[in-house]
Amino acid sequence: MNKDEQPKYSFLLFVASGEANSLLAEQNLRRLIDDHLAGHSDLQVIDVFQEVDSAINHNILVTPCLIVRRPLPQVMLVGNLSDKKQVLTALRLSAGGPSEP
Amino acid sequence: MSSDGPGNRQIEKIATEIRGFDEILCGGLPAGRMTMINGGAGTGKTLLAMEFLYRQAQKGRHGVFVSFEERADDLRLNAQSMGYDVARLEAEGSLAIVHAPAPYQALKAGDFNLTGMLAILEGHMRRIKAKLLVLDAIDVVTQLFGDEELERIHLQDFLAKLRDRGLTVLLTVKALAPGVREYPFLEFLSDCVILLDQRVKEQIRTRRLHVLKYRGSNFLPNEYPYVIANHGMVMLPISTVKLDEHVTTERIGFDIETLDAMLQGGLLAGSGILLSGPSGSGKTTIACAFARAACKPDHKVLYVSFEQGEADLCQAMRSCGLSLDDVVASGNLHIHSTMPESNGIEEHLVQILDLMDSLHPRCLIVDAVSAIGRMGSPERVTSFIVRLLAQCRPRRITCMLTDQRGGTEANALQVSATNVASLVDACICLLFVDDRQHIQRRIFILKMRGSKHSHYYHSFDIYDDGIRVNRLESVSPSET
Repeated sequence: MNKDEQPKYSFLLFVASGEANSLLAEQNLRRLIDDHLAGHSDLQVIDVFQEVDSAINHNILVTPCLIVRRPLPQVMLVGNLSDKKQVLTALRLSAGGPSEP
Repeated sequence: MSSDGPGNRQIEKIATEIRGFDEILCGGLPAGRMTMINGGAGTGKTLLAMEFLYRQAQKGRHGVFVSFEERADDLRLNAQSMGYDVARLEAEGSLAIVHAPAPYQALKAGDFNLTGMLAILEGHMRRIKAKLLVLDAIDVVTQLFGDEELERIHLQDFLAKLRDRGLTVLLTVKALAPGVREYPFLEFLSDCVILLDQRVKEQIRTRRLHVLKYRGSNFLPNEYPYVIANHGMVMLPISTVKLDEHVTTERIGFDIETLDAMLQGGLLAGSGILLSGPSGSGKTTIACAFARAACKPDHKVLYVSFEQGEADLCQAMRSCGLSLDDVVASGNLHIHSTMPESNGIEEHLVQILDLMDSLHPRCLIVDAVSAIGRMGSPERVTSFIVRLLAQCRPRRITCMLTDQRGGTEANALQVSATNVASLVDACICLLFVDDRQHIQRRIFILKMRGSKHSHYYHSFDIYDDGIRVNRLESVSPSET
């Protein structure tokens, strides 16, 4: 990866810490990043109770909630990200084997 | 000490200050609990919730209005059109209007819950130290679950958390079809459930409110018509009418010598009077004579004309020597002319009450209550009169109602058998008598509570220069 470039993938994951679905979402996302996007993404995990203003600004009504900031257009995914196929579709990665980022 | 048992202690309530609503709720909405408002499109759910928060904010009780559907600016505009200065309250920090649209476009990738919403709401409420919360159209958010069972579980869980926090919550939920309640489980979760609905019958729309349940409290059990007036919701429940009479000796005359003598000087101030007679018998003329006589420099009269416009009425009175022009010009006589068909009964009633509150008249004349029959059933006319009189009494407003009845002597006496006559304090009847040569007008006092009155038929006629009433024994020679 070229150090001057921003990573191609940028994620904001809103969680309610301590809730099972939120833990699961974070695990699922980190695994997916390791498997498919290693070195090409940045991830920020935000607790809706700790950073309420951020939750308000992004209108986070349900948790967990993933905002894919890049690549554009921005996409919102709700749920614990166990539906891997849906996640890969949202990232515009094929659901099959790993593809080049 | 109280007559109630220990189990009947009343829960804490918040008076809504919405006219009539607190009477129906026996004091107000439950504090620290959840109330659900369920109604179809156009029933005013959002308005009722907004008016509640607005009136509380004015009293220093802070509230957050969260709309999951309508945009905040649209809500502000609607509120401002009702005269609610929400911009000022928001600037002061006693009210916050928030738009939180449901994330329709979001992709679903596994299970989720409503904790985000809880965090956001807490954030908003903490910011302005609010204890009151409105969740408008919460159903559009929970529809995200796409499954009734999940919807129920998550909403239940979410609302339980709000309840644990001791917030006073007002939920609005859409009813998709009249009478069909979409979220029965919400009714179980709510401490108070209010149903709004609107029906159109014979081209007249009526909105009705009904309290389905109220845990730990009494409430009035019936359906009550309500009106969305230009300043908010108004309910005028008939059941709360108090029959407290007061004794008065002040009299208001007609400035018609013989007629005033028949009434021992005039009608009792603050009483309700029925002026009944067939078409053409002179009801309007007598009512106008009364209006004119009651107009004094510091006394106003409100004349509600369902039959003719202000200009026509003034012209007709001028032709019989009862010019109203000066009292209209001075503002002492306010003529409110309206077509009965232009509105439903409730709307008319609210309009009249609004005028009463702004003008503070000494007398109210409604010409003619029989026209209200064109707006609804006889029962609704009775209900209109009962509630109008009930609003006049505490304000000590003398209320004269004209009523069109059949033209014969027998019919005139039957007036006393109608519902209306039993509601009023005094009853003056006009009628025609046919002596096979010409038709003569007659007037008599059928009843007058709290006063002596003449029991004789009198003749009366309308001339170019006014009304004259005479005892029958001394019919004036001019009356040929």
